[in-house]
Amino acid sequence: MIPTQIKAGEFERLGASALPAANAAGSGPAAEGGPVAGREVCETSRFGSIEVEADSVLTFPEGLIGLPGSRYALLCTDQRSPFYWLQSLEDTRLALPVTNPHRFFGDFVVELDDEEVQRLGLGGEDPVDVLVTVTATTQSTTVNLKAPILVRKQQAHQVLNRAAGVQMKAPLPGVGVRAAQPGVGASGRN
Amino acid sequence: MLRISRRLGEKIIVGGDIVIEVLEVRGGTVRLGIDAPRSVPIYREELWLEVKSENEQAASTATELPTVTGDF
Repeated sequence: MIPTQIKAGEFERLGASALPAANAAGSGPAAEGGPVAGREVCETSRFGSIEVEADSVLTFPEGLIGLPGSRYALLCTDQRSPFYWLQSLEDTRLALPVTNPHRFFGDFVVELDDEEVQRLGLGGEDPVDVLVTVTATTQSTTVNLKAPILVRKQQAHQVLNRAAGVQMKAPLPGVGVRAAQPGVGASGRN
Repeated sequence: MLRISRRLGEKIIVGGDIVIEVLEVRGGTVRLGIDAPRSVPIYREELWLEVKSENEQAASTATELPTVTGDF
């Protein structure tokens, strides 16, 4: 069985709700003549009550592996950061940092069995975007290249990457989480 | 847990639309064939658990996203 390769797409295709919501640059690529994005309010434990743009809402028909729920919103809290939040719209406390793997791994590809490609309807013309979850501790930051998230027209699936050598904890050198510092805002490095 | 014994070539039907067939039995290894609707993903248990654990760890990040400190 020849696996199908899916290359990480241009992340910018994905809509993301910018926080704080007052930011007029708002929700990702403006579709020329596209539908007016609706909004919905969602409660979050990290960011309080927020408004999310319809085009930043991702639906996982099968959910994230091992986690409850199926609707999430992609949130951008720092325009300069390659990291986004995948915030559950059903569990206020559930949110995962995600990023575009192509930003860090130029030759990253997702390989799936033909059957999986067909099962998920990914073989067609629509572009497929790839996100990976980020596990960050004060010691290290890693991304899950083995179970990436594929997104097509706002439908998302977490799949198992058949490509050789992909790690579930792929290190991101040069990336870290600062130890909590009281009173320090999110801006600025180090 | 329901425990069923099957011989080579025999099948189990789950929920009316998932079929599991014993394709091959060799030593301590059983090869299974699984027919399921498109909407039903199928995983090896140990991989599923590993991904679940990684998802849970990723979700335990409090409020700070990582920052890029090095030159990437």
